[in-house]
Amino acid sequence: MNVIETKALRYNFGNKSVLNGIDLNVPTGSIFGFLGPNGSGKTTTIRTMLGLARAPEKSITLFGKDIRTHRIEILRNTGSLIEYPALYNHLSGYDNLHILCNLTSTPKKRIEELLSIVSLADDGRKKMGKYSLSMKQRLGIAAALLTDPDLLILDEPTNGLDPAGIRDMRHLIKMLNQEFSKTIFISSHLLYEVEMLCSHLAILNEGKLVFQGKASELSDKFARLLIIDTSDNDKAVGLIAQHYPVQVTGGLLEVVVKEKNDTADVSKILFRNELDIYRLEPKSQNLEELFFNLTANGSAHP
Amino acid sequence: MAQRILNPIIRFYAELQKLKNTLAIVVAVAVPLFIAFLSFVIYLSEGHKLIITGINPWKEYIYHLQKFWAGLLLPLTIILEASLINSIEHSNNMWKQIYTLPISKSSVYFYKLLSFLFLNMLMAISMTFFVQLFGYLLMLFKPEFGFNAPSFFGESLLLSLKMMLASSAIIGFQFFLSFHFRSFIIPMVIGFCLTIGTGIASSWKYILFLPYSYPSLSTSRQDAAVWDLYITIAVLSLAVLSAAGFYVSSKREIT
Repeated sequence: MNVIETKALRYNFGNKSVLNGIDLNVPTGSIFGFLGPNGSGKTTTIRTMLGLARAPEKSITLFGKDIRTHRIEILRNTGSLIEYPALYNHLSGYDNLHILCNLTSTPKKRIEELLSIVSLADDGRKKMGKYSLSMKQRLGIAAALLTDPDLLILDEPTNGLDPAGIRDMRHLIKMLNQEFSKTIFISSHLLYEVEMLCSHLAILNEGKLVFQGKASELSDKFARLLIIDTSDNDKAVGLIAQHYPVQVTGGLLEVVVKEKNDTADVSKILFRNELDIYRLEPKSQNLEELFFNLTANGSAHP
Repeated sequence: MAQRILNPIIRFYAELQKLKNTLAIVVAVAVPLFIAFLSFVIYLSEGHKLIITGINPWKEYIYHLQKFWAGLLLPLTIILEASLINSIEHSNNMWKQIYTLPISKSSVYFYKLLSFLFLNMLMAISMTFFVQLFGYLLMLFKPEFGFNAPSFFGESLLLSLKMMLASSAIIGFQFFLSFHFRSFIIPMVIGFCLTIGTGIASSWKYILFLPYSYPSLSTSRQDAAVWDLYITIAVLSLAVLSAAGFYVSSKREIT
């Protein structure tokens, strides 16, 4: 069953079309990565999902209900963190959560539980001004978890964090999914981050989905590069070029392959021709290259 | 059932919690304190000119501030308070957090407005308290003024509340502006121009059409009725502006 479904979701800023018919399906229990470059429409999609921006009726359902007609019911079961955490900087972490508890009629005892989950139990009484960005992000997650929702929507939760903060955030997200069975929808512009965390993902480019599926399908489905170094690279280029597109970059071979078997095939070609293989590994593609491949393959995938 | 009664109270309390450590509370108490102190100093140095022998000095003393407070400082303080209370949300970019809570969008405006009305009430009560306090101090420092007579506490409180009620249109309009505009300056400048403009036009025959003059017009005469036309129009204006605010809040998009 899908927790979030969008059907031909469209949104315009004035005359400018930001979302052009997005069909998202976010399965229950998944960590769903929503990937796209800055300005591709990720935050706008999230804002429409949360009812912050007005989407056409019946184009967004969460828990099987239309956000336009069941907003409060849906938000009772949905926590969110949009970009940087919104918190009252003149108050302590505890006070911030206490206010949100009172606004949502949540029992006060939940505050200590949440501070403990996000590892801020000892810092709850500190003013927000003394919090690092990582602590603020974690408190933002605690705020999102206040009503113990089944769904968490996190918009770029690692934005601006240092490596230790990013690691803590990743750990927290995984824990919330595995130990607390939360479905987590997380947007990012960093492919490696999403690959490390997510079971499913969708890629957005210029307001259109160019991929949606399991994370493992992404690498299987689309062209990828192999980096190869052998005892005789000139000879290797000649041999591989008969079967696969190849180019030499920085003294190393870059071979475009499409399927898992292609990697085995390339290694067999080199082995049969008695070339020693020093290195044979997939090159991790950055988002730009991936988009290029996805769009070059004409793979817009609803 | 008990929870249904308690929930609105707790939500209102949450709005008050947001005021902790902010200037909004300080201003609501400090401005009346300052004004009452100023009046006290004037009475200390020039009281003999203001006191009429044989007549209870309290009433004159209570009304001594009215023109200055109701005509200028009260509207300006309301303008400042409206900007301060909404800047708590604007400056922390809190709207996106608040509008993703499972609460109705129009109630966001309602409870915020309620906390603003509370601040105005606090200001009225503070003014009464400090006027009384400094009146009793005058009794100590200047016993010859006759402040040992009955202190007209009820009348003093009524005057402050009347000024607050007559300010309802200002309260509604300034709150609406501050809720809508992210900028601290825009509502302040609009309010400032309207207050000063009203002051300049105070002898204009159509002054009745400028609601920023109502606190002053409604309380200028000591024998005026408790509830008058100015208060009626001001309260109705607040109701209309609040309805507009609920509507704007319910349709608000955070993009």
